[in-house]
Amino acid sequence: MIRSVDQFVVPCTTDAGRPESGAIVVARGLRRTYRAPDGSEIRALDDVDLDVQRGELTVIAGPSGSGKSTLLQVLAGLDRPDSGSVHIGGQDITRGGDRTLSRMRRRRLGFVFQSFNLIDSLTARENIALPMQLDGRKVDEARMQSLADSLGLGERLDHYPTQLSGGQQQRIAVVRALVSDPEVVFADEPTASLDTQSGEQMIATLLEVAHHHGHAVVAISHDPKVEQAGDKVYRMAAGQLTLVRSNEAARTDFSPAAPWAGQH
Amino acid sequence: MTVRQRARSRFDVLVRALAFVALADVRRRPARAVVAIGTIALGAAALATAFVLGASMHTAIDTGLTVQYAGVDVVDKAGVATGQDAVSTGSSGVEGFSARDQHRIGALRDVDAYGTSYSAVAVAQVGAVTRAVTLDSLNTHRPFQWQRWADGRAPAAAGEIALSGYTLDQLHIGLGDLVAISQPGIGRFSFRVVGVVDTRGVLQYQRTMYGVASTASVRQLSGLSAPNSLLVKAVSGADPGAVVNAINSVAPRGLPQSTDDILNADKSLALTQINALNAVIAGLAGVASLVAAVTAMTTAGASLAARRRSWALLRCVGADRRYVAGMVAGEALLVGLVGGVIGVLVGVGLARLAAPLVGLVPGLPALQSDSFTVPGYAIWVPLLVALLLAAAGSLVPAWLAARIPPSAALQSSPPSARPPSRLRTVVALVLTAGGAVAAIVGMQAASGMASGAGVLAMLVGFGLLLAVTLRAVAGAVGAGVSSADRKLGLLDVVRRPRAATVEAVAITLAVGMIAMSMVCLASVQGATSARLDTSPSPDLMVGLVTGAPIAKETVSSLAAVPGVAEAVPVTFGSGISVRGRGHDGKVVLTTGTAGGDATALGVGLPFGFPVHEVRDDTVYIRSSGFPPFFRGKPVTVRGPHGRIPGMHVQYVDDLPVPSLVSRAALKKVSGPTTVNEVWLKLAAGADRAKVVDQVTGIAILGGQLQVSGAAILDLRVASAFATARAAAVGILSIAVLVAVIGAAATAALSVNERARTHAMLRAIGLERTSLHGLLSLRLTVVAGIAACFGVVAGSLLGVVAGGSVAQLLDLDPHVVLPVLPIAVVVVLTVFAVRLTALVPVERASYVPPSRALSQA
Repeated sequence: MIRSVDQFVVPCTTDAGRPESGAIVVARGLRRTYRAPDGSEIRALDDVDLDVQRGELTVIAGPSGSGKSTLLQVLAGLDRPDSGSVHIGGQDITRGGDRTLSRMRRRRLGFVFQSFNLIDSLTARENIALPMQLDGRKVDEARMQSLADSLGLGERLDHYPTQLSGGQQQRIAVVRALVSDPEVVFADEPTASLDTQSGEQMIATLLEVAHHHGHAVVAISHDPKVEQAGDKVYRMAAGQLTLVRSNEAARTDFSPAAPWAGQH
Repeated sequence: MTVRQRARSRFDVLVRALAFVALADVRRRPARAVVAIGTIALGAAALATAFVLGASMHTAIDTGLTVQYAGVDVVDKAGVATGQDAVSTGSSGVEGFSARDQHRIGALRDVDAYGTSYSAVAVAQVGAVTRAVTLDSLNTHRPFQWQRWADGRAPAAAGEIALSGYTLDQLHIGLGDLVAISQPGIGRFSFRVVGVVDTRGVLQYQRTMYGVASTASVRQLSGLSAPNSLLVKAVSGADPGAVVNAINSVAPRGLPQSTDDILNADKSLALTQINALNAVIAGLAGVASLVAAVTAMTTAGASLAARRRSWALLRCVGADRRYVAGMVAGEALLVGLVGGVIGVLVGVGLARLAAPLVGLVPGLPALQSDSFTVPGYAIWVPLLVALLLAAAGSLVPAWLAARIPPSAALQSSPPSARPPSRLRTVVALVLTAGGAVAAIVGMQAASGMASGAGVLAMLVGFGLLLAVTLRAVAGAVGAGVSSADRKLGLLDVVRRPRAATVEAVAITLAVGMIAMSMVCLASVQGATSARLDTSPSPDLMVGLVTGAPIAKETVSSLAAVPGVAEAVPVTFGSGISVRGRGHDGKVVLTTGTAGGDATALGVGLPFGFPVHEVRDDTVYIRSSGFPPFFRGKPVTVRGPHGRIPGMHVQYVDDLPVPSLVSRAALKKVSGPTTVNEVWLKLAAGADRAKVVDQVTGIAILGGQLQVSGAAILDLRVASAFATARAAAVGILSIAVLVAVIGAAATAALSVNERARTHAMLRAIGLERTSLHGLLSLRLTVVAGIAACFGVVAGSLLGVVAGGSVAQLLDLDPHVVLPVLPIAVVVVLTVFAVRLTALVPVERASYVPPSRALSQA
């Protein structure tokens, strides 16, 4: 019986699977094909390799239908590739069962969805606490409050999602993603549902999450501002990933004063 | 293009656009449309089945009445009837139509043709089976011979007989077997079965013993020298009434009647029962349809949230409230049309399948294949009802959809529903309690208005209480659950009680229907049994106070019938009168006076004799509203052999004889005493129908003695009750099926509509088994509470309905709660709903977490 996530760690033995130094997410040779309604095959991922470093905001840009959402799903263990591997912190997530993957998502990953995906019948506070509660862990109320305060939501925690604006809901989603102190935060079009000002705030938040604490943040977006803010920017086209820009200096700027600073 | 043309063109475009959007939604979410179509179709099918079977029964009655008088204008019968009537009528003292009579009738100007036949009621015996049977000879005029032969041939010689299929079944014999036919005072004859009579749906022979024998044989069995049945065909254009009068004047032997008169009288009698039954069936089909409408509404309600944005979007792009409401209603009408067409087809098919079973229900005519009728109204009424139901079911969703503001298109989710207020809870409690009291008081006071208003108030109260209770119970259960995921499911019920209520309504409806029908049927049956069980009269009485004496052998035969526990001969004196003074001055009472002692007579009664001791100085008279003699004043009992003055009078409730004296007193005043009645007490658990059959056979053999008593009433009531129950169960089962499907569908839709939330939960780390547990617990709590509400509401309605039916039948209302059967059926229903809803739950737990990222 697997008692901890670490038990499931599958050491990489090939050159292709070995992570770069400091890379928290290592993807190698990912392929994913879908069948279109007309029977033809759509190659969403075509031999994709990717390394995601701690403390970096990695942006994957590209037009609609280029395969970037598929890549995010495969990287986050929400979908399985046809071939290839994804290691998160050394653990091959393409081989785990439902229980193991669920536990890993609860403990090591955070998600920010394009449409917020908050539960309407729960207050903001309950939504934030949900991943911790599902994991049977006690919520650190002080940490939650601190995170919420830092994002300007301190007074809004007892409101229902329907009583919040789109930007506020998205920031609640960010707090929910961070409250369990994950190693990697995946963000799906985080600014797509927000106005300009809220979008800029969201970008700043993601940068702080990456730079000040050292979380790895992977965002897919076709918002030029997100692309511009990314430490590493990749572009997807026809299922293939190309590095467009890299800013190696970014991840050295960690700030332990950030409220989401946790123990790693 | 004129303004009007332009407006019409714009309207056409808009209607097409809205229809396109509605159809696209149906295409995209077919499960919802399938459920709505299915429920509407079942309601329409129930109606169509009821209408087709009702029309077919009418056709069967028409055919059954007319077939034996085809081509006949006047029927003249001399003294012989068929079936049970014959038991008392007998054939003695009847004169047939002599050759002279026939000649006179045949010579009448308006008579075209005539034919005669013999008819007799005799006793058929095969082994230990004894049954009364009506026997006819074939009419002498061939066109009047209505009988056909399902097998074998017509009897030609003496000693040959053809019997109906029912008769052969009852006697457990077949073609080629022997049967003994007896007639008291005439003899016992052996016949061989040479044919099976096809009674061609003639009503009176469908469930009675019937046969055809040669003219000579039936003449001998009838004890007549001339035929006792004469059929006449009048010349074209002649008035049958004039023919009847003419026959009366030349041969006043029988009772001539025009065929139309006979048919009208018989038809009105037969149709009274069928029409009452049809009304019950149509009413129940209406209930099934109503359930279908509610189910369609709850189904639509379950998907309101999911479609909220679509409708708001339509508002954004220019559709006003009317168009949105129209689109929802249009979609519902489309669903109603498709459901109606399917329902009618299914209903007609069901009716065709059920037709052979109709004749098995006591009191209903057997449906021959040529009786199967599909009237026009059996098609268009269910179709119309389906459309109306769909429209009615869409009223609330359409109203809610029209109220959605365009701004909702910009919101990611609907605003949270407000929790039920305390005032609403109080109102709900008052309505429920007050309604229940009003319904029960109204029932006891036989006030339909008060009962109806009470029931309505109670249902509204229940509806309001449901949300409150769901919220409270889910909260209480949630407080006791430690697992966060399971708590989450219950929290959803607490925070969104309206959504949970929509799911619960369908289950409440299903369980309520079951509980109501079971309690109603059990209560009516209980009321019926209670009356029969408390009847102080004998189970069966053979003979009449004023009838012929009964032989010792007959008494012995009656005592020997299996199922008869006691046979008590009751001795009556002859020429006895009771004289005294009463309110009308000097009174002479000459009712039949029996003699006996309480112990001996009490053996034949279910609750013993109503008098503890029969005293020699007292005459016991049955109580009535007008006692003939003053109480406390002496009377004189006088008979051919003496008189006893100074007798006391005691009025006795439920005295089973008109008057009674002690055996010694009877001996002193009466001439020779005779046994005129035999009281039979049936053994517990005896097959009453079988005992009555055998007793009737012996009674015929014993001199055409009359058979009466509580057991016969019991059989009649049981037969009528079986008919009503068969109809009620048949139709209600459709309603229950509709409700169960609705409940399961609503639960399934509710799960499906939350697919995205489930996917999000999976994405943030909820395990598949945990999601399954979350949904299962939520479903169980909602279904459990809904079932409890259904049982309580259904049982209360069942009590009210059972009481009303009992009052209609002139019975004392009885409340019977078949707790165990209800519990079993309710558990099975909830299990069925859970099982059906578990499929989407199972599917939901396999929702890929990646779906949380999709915008669909």
